[in-house]
Amino acid sequence: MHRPPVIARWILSVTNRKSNREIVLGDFDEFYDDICSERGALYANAWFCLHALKSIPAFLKTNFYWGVVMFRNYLKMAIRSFVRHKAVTTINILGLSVALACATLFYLFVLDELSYDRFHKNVNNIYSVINTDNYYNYNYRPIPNATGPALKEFFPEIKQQVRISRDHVTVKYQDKIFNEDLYFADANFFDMFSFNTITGNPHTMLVNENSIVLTESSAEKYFNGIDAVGKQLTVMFGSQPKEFMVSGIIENLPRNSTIQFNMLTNIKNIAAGQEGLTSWTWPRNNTYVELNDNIDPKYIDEQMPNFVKQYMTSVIAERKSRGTWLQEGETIEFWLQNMKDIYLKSDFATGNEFSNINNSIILAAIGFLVLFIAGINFVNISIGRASTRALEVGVRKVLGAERKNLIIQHWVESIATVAISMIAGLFLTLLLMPLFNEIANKQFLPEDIFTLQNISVMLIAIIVIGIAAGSFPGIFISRFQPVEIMKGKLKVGGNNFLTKSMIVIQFSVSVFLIISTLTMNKQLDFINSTDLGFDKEGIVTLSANERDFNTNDKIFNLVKTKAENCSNILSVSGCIFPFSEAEGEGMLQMNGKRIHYNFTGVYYNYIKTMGMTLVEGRDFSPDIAADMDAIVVNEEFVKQFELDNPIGMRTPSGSTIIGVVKNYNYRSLQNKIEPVIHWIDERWGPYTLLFRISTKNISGALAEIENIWKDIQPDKPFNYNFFDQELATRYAKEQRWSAITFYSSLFAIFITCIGLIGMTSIITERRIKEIGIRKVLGASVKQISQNLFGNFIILMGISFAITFPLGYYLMNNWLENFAYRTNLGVDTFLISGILSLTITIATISYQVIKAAMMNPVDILKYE
Amino acid sequence: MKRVLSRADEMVLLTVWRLKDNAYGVTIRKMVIEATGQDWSVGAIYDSLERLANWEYLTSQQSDPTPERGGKRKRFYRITEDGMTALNELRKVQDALWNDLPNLSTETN
Repeated sequence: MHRPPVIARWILSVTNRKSNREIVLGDFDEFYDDICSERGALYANAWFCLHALKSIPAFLKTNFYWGVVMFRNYLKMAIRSFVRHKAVTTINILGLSVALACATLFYLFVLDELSYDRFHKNVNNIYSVINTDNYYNYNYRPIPNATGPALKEFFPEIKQQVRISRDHVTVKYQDKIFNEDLYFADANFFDMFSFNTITGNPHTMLVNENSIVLTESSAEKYFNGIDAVGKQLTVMFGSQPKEFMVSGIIENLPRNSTIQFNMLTNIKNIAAGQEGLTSWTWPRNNTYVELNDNIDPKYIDEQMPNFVKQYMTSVIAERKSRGTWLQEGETIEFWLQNMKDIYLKSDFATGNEFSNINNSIILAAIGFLVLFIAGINFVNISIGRASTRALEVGVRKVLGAERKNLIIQHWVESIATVAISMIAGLFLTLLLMPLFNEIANKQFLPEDIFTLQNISVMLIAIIVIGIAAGSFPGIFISRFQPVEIMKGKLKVGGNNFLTKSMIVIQFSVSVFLIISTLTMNKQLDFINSTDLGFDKEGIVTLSANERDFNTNDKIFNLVKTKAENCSNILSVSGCIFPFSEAEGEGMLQMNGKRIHYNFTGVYYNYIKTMGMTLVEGRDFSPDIAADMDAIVVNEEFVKQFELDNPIGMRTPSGSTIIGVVKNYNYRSLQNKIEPVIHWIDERWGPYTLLFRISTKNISGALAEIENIWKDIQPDKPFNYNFFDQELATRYAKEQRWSAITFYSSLFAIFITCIGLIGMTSIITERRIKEIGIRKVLGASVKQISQNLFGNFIILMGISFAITFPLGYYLMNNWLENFAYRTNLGVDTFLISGILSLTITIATISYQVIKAAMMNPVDILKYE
Repeated sequence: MKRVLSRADEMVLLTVWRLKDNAYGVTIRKMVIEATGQDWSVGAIYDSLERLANWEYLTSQQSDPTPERGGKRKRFYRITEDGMTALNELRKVQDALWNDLPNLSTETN
């Protein structure tokens, strides 16, 4: 017994209307059997398939025609319902558009974060080489300069390598003098990275040692946009001038590039020279390698120990002989990080982070939550209004509408609502964009929204959100029995378990966001009020470089002597590295302990200038020659090494401790204070000059500093900073997140509130007769209000019970990031509870009081 | 609208009449094929059946499910008074036109 092809049977059953399906299929089975017995199965199958296919065109035509007819009808009904119920429509559209604006901005943020470095053509094959010191578990992106070329030599899988270095220089062209960050790279830089060239041959423009490549904006800066190629620029490496010829102009680098520079020249020009380029210790530079196609980076990682063995044995041996660095269990390791991961996944490299994937995840989550509570509004209000739509549903059902049709009708309606909200939301997005750019530290432009990709995503979002929000009420309402509807027996919505639990979710999201905002603000306040251990007010910083200076005396001594005559400069000092970075770190063996410590080079008067407190001993003195080999440690050092009497003690390297300074936070308060050694560093190099000035006459002090500067460095620009402002940027990230949660909670509360207004009006409307009867029977305005408020207050109570433990847990987790943190007290929860209760009651009170105050006659006279 | 019976409609209507109690899709098509000697597609038969039912020349009734084709129902057709009248009219017209012709030939002299 043969059977007709399953697919053909399926086509037949789909294309025939339900009432006829069984009969047609039965007939066809008989035909099939007949043909089968007469002419064989093959012919019968072909015949069957042919008939099945022939049924398709008519089916499509009919369906399309009626689809359009019904769609027009649904749309018409949707518009009528919008117009008739203006308040509800406004609430829906307002809530959704705010949420969509929020989500659009967050979407742009996430998209931008994910776009970093993707524009390089070979990005999948480009890797950054990371150096891991597995003993301390520290990871460094800068690696010794000799590593790159050696890697290329060792691994045939590596197509090319590029090292990138940078230096602070002064650049001169005629009368234009600016301080610049000059970047250095191997000549094949533009072969590996895809930056767009305007003039010049990308393959050769870095080959000559004296060639320099400018971005459009820096060409504009020096040459006023005239074609700059072939022009000469003088670069001052300290006091050493060097002539460069502009060999190419490239477009300004995309913002979403982790490599940023304005001027680029050949790596041979680095200050350390040829010796530095082949060194296995210092200087270190970011090194990138490009692998050939289809090479697994894991394979390279696995081979790295062999590489280290072949090239670095002597380096390791030398370190071992010094005994301070490389100990048992320590190895030098290299591994590859794909270029695409540099921006988002570099939290392993302290101080080298750009951003973090978590930012995108958190923002996406908040955006989704806000969208979700706006969706809840829509669903709740639709269900709450179900009884008003029930008659229409009843009539449609009687006229032959199936459940499917009713659900589709709801979809059309909700998609239309979402589409209108999206348009309103886009206007809102444009309005909010400057604010968002500021708090998220992005530079979005209006045209960034309207790319083809974004528009398609929005269209998809409209349909998905519309269907998601429309399904629930659609399924709910289409379940009604027409007879019950017509008889007016139907009682649904507003008070059921579902609506209540959704309101609880909304409350919970809002309350949670309030708790987060409060906690973040509290932590920021705490950070700002924490005693940092030094006096950040009234310090002016100035970058200087010993190389820039052409006398026999140290620049610091010159400045110091001149400052002595200035009334507004209280003291002068300097430090080798920017204050918030330690100069270096290492392990120190002392007093039977082996502990990680930081060291930092400073100048005389450091403790006084920074406003730090000496606990024991004294500061360095220029009059005591032995101080060149002395150190000042911090309290943590004394504590961790358990030194009973630190003054006069010697470290293994022979330095004497002459003073102990009170602990101070040189890094962000996310970090614990580590043992620190201060020493007098008289090497020649760049450093930061620190001036403690009289806060009573800041402009006078600045003028005095500028005079000193102009005196000793007439051809260098005077770029100063206020120390407290510099420090503030350390917490920019925390400030940003605090602002983002603040605005998100604002939006969430707003959306929840307008949803509440809608719900209260529906509930009071439904209970209006009950209220009237209660009033007639003697209930007071107060009693009725209490009754109506009571519902919502119970829901709030439930959401508190959910959010408080959750918020406590999550915010405690967040606070764990900080070594110095505030406590999550009762006050945070109390405030958020009172705040949200007040807002809720204020929002619904108008309608509740209106309902409670009405005259029962007005309502009951129609009964 | 003037209801014009096509050749196919006429065949189907006649067949339903002849088949009496056993007129459903399969038997109708079989008889039409036997009578004309041509292969008729199922769609053509269904089309005519539906049209004739719409004009109320045919009524239809679903049978109870029988085990013979997997428990699937059949739709049986039966000719109505209107259908009979239409067939008769058609026959009259044809008879009138056939009447005077002596024999069948392409020459019309």
